[in-house]
Amino acid sequence: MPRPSHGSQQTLTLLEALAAVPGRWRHGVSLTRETGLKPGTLYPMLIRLDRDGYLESRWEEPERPGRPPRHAYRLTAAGRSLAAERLATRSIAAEQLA
Amino acid sequence: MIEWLWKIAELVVPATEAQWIAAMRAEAPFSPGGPERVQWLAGALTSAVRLRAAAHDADVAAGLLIGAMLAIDWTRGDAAPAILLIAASAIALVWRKPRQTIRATLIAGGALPLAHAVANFNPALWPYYQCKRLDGLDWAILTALFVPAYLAAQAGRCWAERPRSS
Repeated sequence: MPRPSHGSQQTLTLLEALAAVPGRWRHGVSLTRETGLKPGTLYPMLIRLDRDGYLESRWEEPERPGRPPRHAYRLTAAGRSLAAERLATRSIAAEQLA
Repeated sequence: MIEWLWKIAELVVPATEAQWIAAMRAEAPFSPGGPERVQWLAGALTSAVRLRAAAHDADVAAGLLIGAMLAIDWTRGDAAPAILLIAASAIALVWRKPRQTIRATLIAGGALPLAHAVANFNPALWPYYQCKRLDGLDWAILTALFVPAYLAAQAGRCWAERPRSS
């Protein structure tokens, strides 16, 4: 049976982190710390989520002069639904295994 | 050196995805440093290569198809296997990447006429079926086939890459 899209364990970890505070804009560094994913793994997942309409992104002005602008991310409404659905499925599967 | 590697990642990534490499570059200074910053650079390089490969995978598939068609056509001269290959590949390309298929399918579809033209350019050369040097009519037919196909491929590319509102 094919795995549902955005259904990998790593993507679930990312969705969980993004869905923890749904409206908050998140940065790459904090996401790598929270999820334990390396940047080379994290960003392709962010790109896929963005491409499929589950993630929105924006450039933020630097907090201090001389710092570069940062790219920030949060789930869209569709992304929040996807996260809720995928995480619920994972919980049910975990309960069935227990 | 590190600056050069970032530049390479920015050059490799397709223009439509450049913001993601820029995002990684902007984020790297916020990591604690040392090995973690190297991970950001390595991640940017691998992501750039993956995105570039993904942007061209239909072209790569078309290229492999052309190679297969040439091998069959030049060594056996049978039309049926080549036509079957074209059909199977067109279906595979349409199924995989709808936005890239116009160009890739046209490339694949044009491969055999082009192969015949190249093969018949000099009848003394190797291909199986060649019999005569191309004449004016052959060139006219090839041009009539190639020009509309090329224009259609360019139009398809422009349509797929057109700017969209929202």
